[in-house]
Amino acid sequence: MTGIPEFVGRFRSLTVLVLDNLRADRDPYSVSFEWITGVLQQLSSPILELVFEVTVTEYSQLDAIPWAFIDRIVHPENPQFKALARVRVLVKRGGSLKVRPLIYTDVVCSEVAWRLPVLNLLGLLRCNTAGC
Amino acid sequence: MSVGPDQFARLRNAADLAHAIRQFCDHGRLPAPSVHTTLRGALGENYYVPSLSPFSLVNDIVTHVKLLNVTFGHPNDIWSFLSSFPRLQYLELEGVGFNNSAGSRSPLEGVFNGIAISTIRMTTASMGFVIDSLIEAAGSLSYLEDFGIAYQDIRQGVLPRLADSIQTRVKCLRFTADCYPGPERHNEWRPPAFDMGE
Repeated sequence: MTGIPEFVGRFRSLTVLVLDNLRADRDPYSVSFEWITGVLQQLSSPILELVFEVTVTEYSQLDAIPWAFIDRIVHPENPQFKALARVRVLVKRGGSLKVRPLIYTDVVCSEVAWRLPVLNLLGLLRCNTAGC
Repeated sequence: MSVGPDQFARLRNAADLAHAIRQFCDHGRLPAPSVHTTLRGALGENYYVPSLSPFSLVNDIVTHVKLLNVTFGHPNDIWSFLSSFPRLQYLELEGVGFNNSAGSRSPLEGVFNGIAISTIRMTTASMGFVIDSLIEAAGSLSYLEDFGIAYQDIRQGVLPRLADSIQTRVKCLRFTADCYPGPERHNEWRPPAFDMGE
């Protein structure tokens, strides 16, 4: 898909970027989140808060998100993140009401912190869960 | 069903809402316009706007409107409907349809003057008429700070214009994209049910 980073980059007054509805619980062969890398590179204003809202039914699905790249580029040394105050990761539990996967807040937040070691070390990372 | 102002704000079903509004009216208990009441998610799924005539009784207190597969008679009707809520702050569009798209469209310049809409969220980029309208009416969306859209592989020529028309005001962008791993999988993409204005 073309045009996504350019679209987001046109918003030159942004202070908060929320990447929501990241449905990592879907078939990994039918969905990709690589566009996130382009969006983060093309941001044209200093972001204060960056939010990822990810839906999973099991911890391993977190791997669908390019965390390693995020941990590298979302750093105060980069101009678009020089004013960054926090990175919030909100993990939502997917699945139907009948099939309720076991997702524990402590575990999922540890998994997120493990995937974002630099942001965690910088004290910028906040993790929350919803429906867990 | 007895509904007080607090519960009134929590109603999520349009039929319940219409019933509650009628109850308020029947008993002379309609909240005063000064009451800050939110009708979050008040418009139910698959509603046709004329059936929402009870809304005319609460226009002054509605601050949040969500349109979820709501059908209007004509494209002109959506903005005249929304501009009848002078306190509207939050607008969520999850699907709008029209019975008849033929005929001339009213100019939108200034349609939102005096209405402090601060948040617009679109759960799809497929509502072509809505996007065109937002570009046209951008000048009167002076309070817009929070904008959300689900980016799709459609109308790529128009979405940059939309961004340019509101980019100086928007401080918070809520964004996602429906994206597939490789070009060969693009064939699997299915357009959403509501694909208006293309």
